[in-house]
Amino acid sequence: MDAPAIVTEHLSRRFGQLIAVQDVNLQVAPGQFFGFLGPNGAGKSTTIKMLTGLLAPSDGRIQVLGLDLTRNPVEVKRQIGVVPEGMALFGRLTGMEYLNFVGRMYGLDRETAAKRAAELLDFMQLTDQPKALVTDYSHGMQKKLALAAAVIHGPKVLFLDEPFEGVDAIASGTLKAMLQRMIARGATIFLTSHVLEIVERLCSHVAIIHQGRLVAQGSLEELRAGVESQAAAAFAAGGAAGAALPAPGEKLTLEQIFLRIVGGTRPAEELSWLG
Amino acid sequence: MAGLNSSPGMRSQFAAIARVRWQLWLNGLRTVSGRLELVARGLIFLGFSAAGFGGSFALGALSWLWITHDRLSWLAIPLWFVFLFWQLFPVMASALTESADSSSLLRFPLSFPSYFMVRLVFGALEPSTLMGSLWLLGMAVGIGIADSRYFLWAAAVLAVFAIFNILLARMIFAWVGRWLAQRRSREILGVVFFFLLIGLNCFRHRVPVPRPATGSFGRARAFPGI
Repeated sequence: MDAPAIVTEHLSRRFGQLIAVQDVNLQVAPGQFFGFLGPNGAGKSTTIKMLTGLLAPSDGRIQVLGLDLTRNPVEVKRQIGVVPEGMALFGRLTGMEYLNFVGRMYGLDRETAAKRAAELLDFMQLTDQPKALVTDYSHGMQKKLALAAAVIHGPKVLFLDEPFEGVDAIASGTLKAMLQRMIARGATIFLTSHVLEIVERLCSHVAIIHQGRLVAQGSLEELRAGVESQAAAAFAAGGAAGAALPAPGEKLTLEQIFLRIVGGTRPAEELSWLG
Repeated sequence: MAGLNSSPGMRSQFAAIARVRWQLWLNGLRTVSGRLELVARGLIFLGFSAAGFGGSFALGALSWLWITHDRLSWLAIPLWFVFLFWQLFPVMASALTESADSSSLLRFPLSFPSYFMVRLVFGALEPSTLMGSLWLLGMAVGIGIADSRYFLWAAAVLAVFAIFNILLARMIFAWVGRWLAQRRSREILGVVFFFLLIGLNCFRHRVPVPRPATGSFGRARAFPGI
């Protein structure tokens, strides 16, 4: 059996008094499309920053592709691709210039970087205005460019922080096609997203973080079975939780599983003045 | 990972960073504001050049004067001035302008020595470094002309002083750089510096100016605090 692509052991991060991430133990197998979910401020982006070497953990250990991130940060960064939260693009470059730069930074020779940049721009349908600066791109175009930059060196593990945020259906389709292609090639993808329908469709495994702690981890079926058995047990005990149980023959959606685990529903009568 | 070198070479990464900075600057000229910025930068460059070379000559002359009159300890005065300028000017300048945040390079496989070098090289190209170095060079030349026995010692000490200033400035920027990358922080700091300058001006008018003694050296001796 292959070694896990990503492992964290007791991973924690504190900012002064605030504990952003606490005692997170993750395990992602190679070739997995892994969804990392959580409400706003749960610690998703902080975790991704630590996993990609952008932020040092306060405690704990991170291994990526069998390498200890603290001891081999350069080697790990060479084998991973990142689409960070703010995309971190250089607005005053053209798409081609930016991809060439990223390729060179990852050690591609000049010809390979140029060839791959052209291919990626073509695949992402960003060739219409070759002279346009990134700052003049639409949000969706910038997301596509950020993803192209993250994969130009053929990473074995890809970290994506909200890649579908603010992206229209057409751009989203292109991004998904690219990600599916990478999974088929054997890459591992670690994705955070608020769009649970997309996560449900793409990811085989999911972890849920809430208030800095990992509250669930496993395949979608495992999570579904866990929530259903809990709900059934609560229903049998006479509680109201049975309301979350699906009708016979229906499956719980990821959104239902997520809300059940995180407990984020609020009573509608709180804002009765809305009518 | 075909086409990937065994380890991204420091040299090719440096070349890529230099090239991207050049492209960023060049692409900036495509807009009207970019072209206006170029004109402004040209004027600023002229001002800095005048201050750099003029200051270098003035400090050289002062150093020569103090050495020939056996006032070696007075050389510390311009060195304090150079130190304060070297450390404060970059922070003040970045409060008034938007500059590239080199921490955006952290996501790439850049080794610590490479990252350190990038920051150091970028720092070395800043006006404060160039002007500070010119002033120290002027002092070394002034000292050397006054007494050639001191030249090598002075050059060595001033070189160490320059390296210390470059490293300290980079260290300070490592602390405040991320903070200054936010527009709000730059605005706050800009306002603080503005009031500081006005405050210093007001303070200057309240301090009695000592009566200058006769003769060029006597005037130098009348410097407050000496």
